[in-house]
Amino acid sequence: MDINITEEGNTITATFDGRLDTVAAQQIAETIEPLMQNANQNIILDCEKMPFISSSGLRIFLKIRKEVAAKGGKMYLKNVCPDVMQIFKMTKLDDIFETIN
Amino acid sequence: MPYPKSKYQFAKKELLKMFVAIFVLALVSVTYYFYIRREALHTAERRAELTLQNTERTIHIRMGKIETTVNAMGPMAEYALDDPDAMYDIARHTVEASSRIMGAGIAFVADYYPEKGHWFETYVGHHKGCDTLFTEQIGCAEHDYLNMDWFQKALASEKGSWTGPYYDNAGGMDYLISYCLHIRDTNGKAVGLIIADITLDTLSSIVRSVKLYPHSYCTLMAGDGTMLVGPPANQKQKGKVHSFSEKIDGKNMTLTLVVPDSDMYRRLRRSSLFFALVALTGVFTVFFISYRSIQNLWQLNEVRIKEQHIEDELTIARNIQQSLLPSEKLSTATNKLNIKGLQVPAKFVGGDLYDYYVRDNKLLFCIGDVSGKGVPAALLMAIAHSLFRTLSAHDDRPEVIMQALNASISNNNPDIMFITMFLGIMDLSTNIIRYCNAGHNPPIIIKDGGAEYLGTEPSLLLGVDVNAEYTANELTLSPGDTIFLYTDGLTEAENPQKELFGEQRALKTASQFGTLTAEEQIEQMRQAVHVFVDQAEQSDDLTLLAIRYNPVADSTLTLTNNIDELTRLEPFLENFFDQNDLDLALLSKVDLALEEALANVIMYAYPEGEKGEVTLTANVADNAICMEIRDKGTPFNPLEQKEADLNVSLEERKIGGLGIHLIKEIMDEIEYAYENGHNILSMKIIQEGCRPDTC
Repeated sequence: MDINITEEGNTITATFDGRLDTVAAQQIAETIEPLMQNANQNIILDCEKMPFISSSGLRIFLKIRKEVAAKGGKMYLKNVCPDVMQIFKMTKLDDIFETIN
Repeated sequence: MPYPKSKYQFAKKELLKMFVAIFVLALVSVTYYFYIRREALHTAERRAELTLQNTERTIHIRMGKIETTVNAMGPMAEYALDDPDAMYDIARHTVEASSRIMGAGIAFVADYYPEKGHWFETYVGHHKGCDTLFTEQIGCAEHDYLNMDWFQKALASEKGSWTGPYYDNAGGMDYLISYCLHIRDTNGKAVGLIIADITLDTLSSIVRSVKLYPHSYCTLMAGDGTMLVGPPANQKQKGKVHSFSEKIDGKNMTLTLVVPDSDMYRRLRRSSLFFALVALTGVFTVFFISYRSIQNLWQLNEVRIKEQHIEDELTIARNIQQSLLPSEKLSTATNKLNIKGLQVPAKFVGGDLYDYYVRDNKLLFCIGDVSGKGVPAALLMAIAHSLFRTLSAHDDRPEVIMQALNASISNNNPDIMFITMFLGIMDLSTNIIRYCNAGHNPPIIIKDGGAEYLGTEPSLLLGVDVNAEYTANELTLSPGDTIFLYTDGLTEAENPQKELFGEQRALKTASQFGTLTAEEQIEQMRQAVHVFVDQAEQSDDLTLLAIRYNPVADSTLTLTNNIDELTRLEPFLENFFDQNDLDLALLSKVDLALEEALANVIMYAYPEGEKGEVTLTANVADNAICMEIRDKGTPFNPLEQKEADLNVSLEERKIGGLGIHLIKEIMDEIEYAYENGHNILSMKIIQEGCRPDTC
C-alpha cells in the first residue's frame, strides 16, 4: 500500500494505492499522521486505486473522520469502487463517509 | 471365424474337398497306368525282338548245318560225274551225315546219262518208322521232276537254295523242305542238283517252342508267302494282337511272333486290378471316415456356434456389468477426493463389485466379492449392487445398510452364495469414514509414506445368517491418505509356480505408493500383479478401488501468528477460486471475512510472544464454499463478542468491533466450536445463482 499526500490550498488529498488490509493498516499508521494534524481542513481520500479494505482500514478512515469532526474540517472519499462501497454499506459507514466523484 | 449356416452347406463344403482329392487320385492313377502300359509295351517289344533274334539264330544254324553237309557232298558228286551209280553212295552219305536229313537225292538234267533214261534221280531215304534206309531211282514219268517248279527254280538260281514246303509223295512221304545245291561239270555248267530233305517238323519244333506268353505263338513264312509253320491249330485268336517279324538271314524266310494284347498286358492288368481294388477300398474307407468326420465336425461346429452365442451373450453381460460400475466423473463435491476403480473379471462377467457415489456431502462406497465365478456370481453381484444403491439412498449408517443388505440376500439365497463386502460412508466435511466390514479383506490405509492394513475384525459375511448384526467403525482420512480396497483376486493371484501374490506383497507394493494419485496407485498394483502372475491364467476376478483424500495443499493454508503472514491469504484464495471454478464476485467478500477472522486469531489467540499457528481449510460442497479456521490458542468464541453498534452517531461509534460484524455479514453460516484444544470457526457461503443441478 502506497499513500501519496498532496496539499493544495486548504485541501489535502491522500491517494491510496493498493489493498488497505490489516497488514497495510498497521504500516500506514504513521503515514497518515499529517492528515490527523490537518483535520481542520478539507481532506480528500482518493480510493480509486484501492480495491479492498479490511476492518483495520475502516478503523483508520473512521479515526480520520472523527478527528475531522472534532477539529471542524471535512473528509471526502473520492472514486470509491463498488466492492469497497459495499463494505461501507455493510458497516453502515456509507452514511458517515461523504463520497464524491 | 465364419460358421456355415446349415448342415447341408457344411457337408457340401467338406464333400467337395473330398471329391477334389479323389479326382486328383484318379487322375494320377490313370496317368500312371498309361505310363506303365507304355513301358510294358516297350519291354514286350524288346523281349519279342530278342526272342525272334534267338529263334532266327537257331533256325539259321540248323539250316546252316544241312547246307554245310550238302556243300561237302557237292565236290564229291562232281568228281564222280562219270559214274552214275556212285550217285547212290553219295546220296546215302548225305543222309547218313546228318540225322536231321530225312532223305537226299541227286537229280540230273534230262538225258544226262543216256543209258539211265530221260530222268535220273537217285534217292536215299528212311523207311517210315525205322532207321533203315532205302535207295531208289525215283525219276520217271509219274515223278517228272524236270518239269517241277522247285527243280527249275533251284537249277536256275546261282547258289544253293531252299525250296518247299511240299508233300513229298516219292521219297520222304512227308511235308518237307529241301536244300538244293548245283552239280556242275568241268565246264561249270549245272548238270544236276543234290537235294537234302528235312521235314518241316525240324523247323516247326523250333518255331513252336517259342513261348514268350501263354497265348503267344510264332509262325514261319517262306519268301513267296507260303506258310511253313502256321499258327497252332488250337489257337483261335480273338481280339487285338501284336506282331513282330524277323527275316531269317539268307533263307528268304520270315519269322513272325504274334502276341495277343491280353497276354502282353496280362501282368499289368493283374497289378492294375489289384491297384484299383486297393484304391477303391481306400476311397471307400476315406468316404466312410469323411462321413464320420463330417458328422463329428458338424456336431463340433454346432457346439462352437452355441459357444459363440454364449460368448456373445457373456460379452453383453460384461458390458452391462461394466455399466454398473461408477463413472469416472464425480460431481465437484468430491474434488477433495481422487477415486479410481478397476475390475478385471476372470471369465467375461465377474462376481466382484465396487461402487461409489456422492450424496448430501457424503461419499458412499463399497467393494464386494460374490462367492463363485461366472454368470451366477455376476447375477448376485448385480442384485447386491442394486440393493446397495437402494438401501444407501436414505440412510447414512453403514451398519444399518449392511444389516438390510444381509437380510435381503440371506432371505433369498437358495443356492447359498455368499458375499463379502466392505461398505463405507465418508462425511466430506469431517473426513470421517464410518465403515462396516462383512467378512471382506481388510483395506490398506496408505498414509505418511507408509501403508498398513485396517486392523478392525471383520463381521460375518453376507448371506449366511439373516439375523447377523453388523457394527460400524470409524477412521479419519487426512489429506494425502488413501484407503485402498481390493478383492481376494489381488491377494490370491497365482503365478505359474502356484504361489499366491499374498497380503504381504500387496502391502509392500502399497507402501511404495507415497504421493501417487489413485489412478497411479491402481496402475502400479495392477502392474505388480501382472508381473507376478506372469504367464499364468487369471484365476479369479481382480477388483481394486483406491479412494484418496487429495492433499490439495492449496485448500489448506497454515499461518503463524505473525500479522505479516496475512499477505499469503489473497494469493491462496485466488488460487482456490481458480481451481474450483468459483464465482469471482465472491472472492473479495470471502477474502475480507477470512482476513478479519485470521487477523483476530493472529493478534489475540496466543499470549504475547508465544508462537502459534492458525490453519485455514477451504473446500467446496454442493453450491457452498466451506471454510474452517483452527487454532490451538486460548478458547475464544468470536461470535459471543459484543458487536459495534452501527446505528449510532459518529461521535458515539466505536472504532473496533467491525471485523466480526463483517464476517457475520458476509457468511451465510458461521459456527464456533472448541474441540480437543482447538478453536474451530466454521463458515459457509452459498454461491448465488448457482443451483446444485447446474454446477
